[in-house]
Amino acid sequence: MSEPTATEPVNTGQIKQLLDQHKTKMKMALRVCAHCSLCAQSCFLFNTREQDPIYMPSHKFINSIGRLYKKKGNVDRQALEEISEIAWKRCVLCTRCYCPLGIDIPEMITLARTICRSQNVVNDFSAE
Amino acid sequence: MYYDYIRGPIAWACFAVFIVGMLFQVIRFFTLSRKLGTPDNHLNPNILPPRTKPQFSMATLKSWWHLKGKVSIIGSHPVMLTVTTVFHLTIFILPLFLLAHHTLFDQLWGASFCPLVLSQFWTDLLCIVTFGCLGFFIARRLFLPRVRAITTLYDWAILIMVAAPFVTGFCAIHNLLDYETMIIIHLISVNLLMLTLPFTKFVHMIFFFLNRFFLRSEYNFGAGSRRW
Repeated sequence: MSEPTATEPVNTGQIKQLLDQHKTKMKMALRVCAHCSLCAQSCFLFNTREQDPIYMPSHKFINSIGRLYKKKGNVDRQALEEISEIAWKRCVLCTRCYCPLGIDIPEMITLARTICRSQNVVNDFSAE
Repeated sequence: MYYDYIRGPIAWACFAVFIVGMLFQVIRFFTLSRKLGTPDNHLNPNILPPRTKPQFSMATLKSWWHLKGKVSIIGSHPVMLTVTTVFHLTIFILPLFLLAHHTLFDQLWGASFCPLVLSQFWTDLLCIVTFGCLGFFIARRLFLPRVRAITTLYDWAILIMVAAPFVTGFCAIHNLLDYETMIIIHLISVNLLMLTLPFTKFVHMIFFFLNRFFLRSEYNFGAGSRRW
């Protein structure tokens, strides 16, 4: 099967399949997150971007993989582009973020990237 | 009649759900995490250096503070860390060592098995401390931009659910409002709390310990034998 191009509609079935593969862990991570914001300072981007909450690790994973999970994969291309913005531009996957409750945030961001990539929604660094 | 029913079979059923649910979550943690050294698809487990048992002395403590402590939660959020520790300790101590609860056990089973029972003074003090901590969490959710950014109605519901047994219990002890109503709400809220603990955000009560003692991370206690 060829990869979908940027103009093709989103294959929600494929997204659902990817979400289902990691459902238990994803569900657990979203459930365990107490929205305490204690992970904030562990992200160097949060510290260097005037402590803007959108760079907080929990904010990133809630609004990327959390959004996909809540919508059960039923998202349009625009939503995927917004998620890709979070997964690539707001996170460099340095894996230095720390959750006091043990959530593997980098893995969640990796999953968001995988889903975006499956729909050919990727950050084009060369276009910048 | 309602009182006996809520205090009796319903409370036991909720307690059973709590125990089974927590066991289920523990099993799930061990199923989802892997023992260190097992092959991984995207990370080499050998990049994690071997951990030795930590040795405590003033020198190691000083070095830990400069290397890790200052940038850890203890260094960046000392107030939140203190308040949250005190809060979690009080919500654990209060129901277990409360005089009223032990009087109830005495009536039911003819004996109370706990050697330590809180006096009225300590009960009131711990209750007020709990309310103060809850007030701090509410203020954080309202006024701190980074907490407000991720706060949902669910978080408010969680705060109300955890506050309800303590507020109603305090009101019942001091006859602040109608005693019978307060006790009924107290029992319902406690049962609801036990029922939801393993399946909602409250599950962090078990994941905190699983994470701190079993996962290998530079900020966790001990060597850690597992990883995600």
